[in-house]
Amino acid sequence: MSDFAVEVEDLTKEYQIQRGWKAVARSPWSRDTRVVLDRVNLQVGHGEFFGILGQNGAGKSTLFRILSTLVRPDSGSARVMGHDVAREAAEVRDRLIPVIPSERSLYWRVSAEENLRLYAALYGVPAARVDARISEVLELVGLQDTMGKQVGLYSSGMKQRLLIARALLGSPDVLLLDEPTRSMDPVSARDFRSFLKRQVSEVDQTTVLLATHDHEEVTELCERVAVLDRGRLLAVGPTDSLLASSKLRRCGVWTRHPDHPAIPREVARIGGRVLEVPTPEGPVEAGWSRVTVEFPGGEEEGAALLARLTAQGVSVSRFTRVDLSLADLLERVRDSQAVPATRGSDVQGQGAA
Amino acid sequence: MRSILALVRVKWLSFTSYRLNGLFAVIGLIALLVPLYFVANALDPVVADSIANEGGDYFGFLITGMIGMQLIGTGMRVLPNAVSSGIVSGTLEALLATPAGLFRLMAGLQGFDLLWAATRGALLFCGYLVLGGDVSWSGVPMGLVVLALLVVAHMPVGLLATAMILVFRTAGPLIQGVASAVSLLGGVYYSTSVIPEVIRPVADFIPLTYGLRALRRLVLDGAPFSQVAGDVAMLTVMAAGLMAVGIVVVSASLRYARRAGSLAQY
Repeated sequence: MSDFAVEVEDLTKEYQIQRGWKAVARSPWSRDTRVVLDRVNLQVGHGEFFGILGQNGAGKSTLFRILSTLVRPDSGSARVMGHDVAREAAEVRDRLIPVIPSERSLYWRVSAEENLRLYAALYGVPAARVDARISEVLELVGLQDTMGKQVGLYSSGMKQRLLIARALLGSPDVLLLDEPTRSMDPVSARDFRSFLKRQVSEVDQTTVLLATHDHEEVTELCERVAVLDRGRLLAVGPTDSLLASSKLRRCGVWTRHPDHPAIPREVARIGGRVLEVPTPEGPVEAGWSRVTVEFPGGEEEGAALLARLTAQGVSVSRFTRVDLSLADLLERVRDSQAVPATRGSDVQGQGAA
Repeated sequence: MRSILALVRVKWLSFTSYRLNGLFAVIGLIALLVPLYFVANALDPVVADSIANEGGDYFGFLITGMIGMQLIGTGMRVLPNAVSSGIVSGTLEALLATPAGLFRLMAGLQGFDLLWAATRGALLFCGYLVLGGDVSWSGVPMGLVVLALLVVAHMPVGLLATAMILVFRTAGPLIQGVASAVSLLGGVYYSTSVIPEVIRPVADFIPLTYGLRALRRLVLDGAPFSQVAGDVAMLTVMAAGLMAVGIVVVSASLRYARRAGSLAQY
């Protein structure tokens, strides 16, 4: 057996960009392409819960389609359980199942059970095991009570769970999840993440690759993470180390004295910095302005900073958390890869291209 | 085989989930059959000479032509339609990501529609019998074989359209154009012997010409197999050759779609 469940080496994919008639008329033989994956390298261990973080257009879905044998790479290689996706597609499809996120890929006019019965045949589940396996996976995703209901009558969250059940039906060694919680409400998404972690990863020992643009989802679920940006792999490493920068707390301090010298001093004392001071055009509410600060730590450190500021005579009306956007996070990862101090740690930057 | 049956089953369940589907289909067939009966009887004296070698009864001539056309129309349309809607919905991506092979999936995606077309054909035939049509029962088994060959011979048009959808995202007027040409030149409504001589050679390249002629002589005329063997042989050769071309073209287009990454993007 291969050392890794998934191995990707120098994987590159370009897509041709469709040109308008004028462009074709001007230069009929030229060809515009867009690099979607640029010499990507990564290895995912057996039973690992691995995150792939990136914005829309980062190349996550293309990577998954290559692993699912639906797209052929231009160069480089990808192996699933030791089988090459280009040369041994049938063996790969026996071992890896992607969760196709489109709810429309289900047959809406038939029941969940019948949808699964179809895929049980396509995945080659032995006929004698089909009923038991369908019950098992429906129970796993909590749909056993509604298995006879037409899928079209399901809520969006239920359909997403059915898509997962469909993929689990084939007992894959590797499961690909592409933004599985994007159409779920927060409570369903939380329950679903808990199910993924507990049942799929810990109990079934399935290798899971999760593509998402939600860095909190990655932090909660994944042991390691790869950060993908415009087709390039910025970094791969343990989630804690790689996304440590996302643990920097960013807060808005609403004060009447935005230029008070104690603010930068006290923030710097706990290892933070002032990111943004209000401008005359900035947010001002009845004389109160927001100063955005960033510092390491959590609630305790935030409370301590607030206490220090008020002790120094800074009047504060509100102290609110400012969520870090994925773009900010990617920028931090990009910056951190440029800093020599991060090299040699367990986080690997990929300097390709 | 399990995969094919499972796909047929799920399409059957989808079809029957619309409860009025079956009823409307029967009403549609009756609405087609009754006027056809009267029109055919009215025109029978006019066309009798030209169809003398193919049963001599214009109502039977039309019914066999329509059954053949219905089956080959389904054979041409069902796969490109399934692939086109499957790309949009994501069903195709989900199916292709399973270990089931491409040709099993293609057979499964077409299976139900072909069976349903065959059922409608059988109902038309029953209607023909009810309305007093004459049949040579000894020719029916071979007639069924000819019908199957007809479907196989025209399916490559569907494969070509599927290839065009995978590569260009549209099959354009291909199927409509072929269906029109085939129905006009293949002897569905009139014998190919009345087609103007200038374009008659075109009819010789259409499998339907051979298929319908053989079918009518077997089922309506009671001709022995030896008299239609030439037509059946030509139909078989055409079916085998066209199917081989169709499979090569659709496999190449699928490889192209995998390279271009367009399999799941409409």
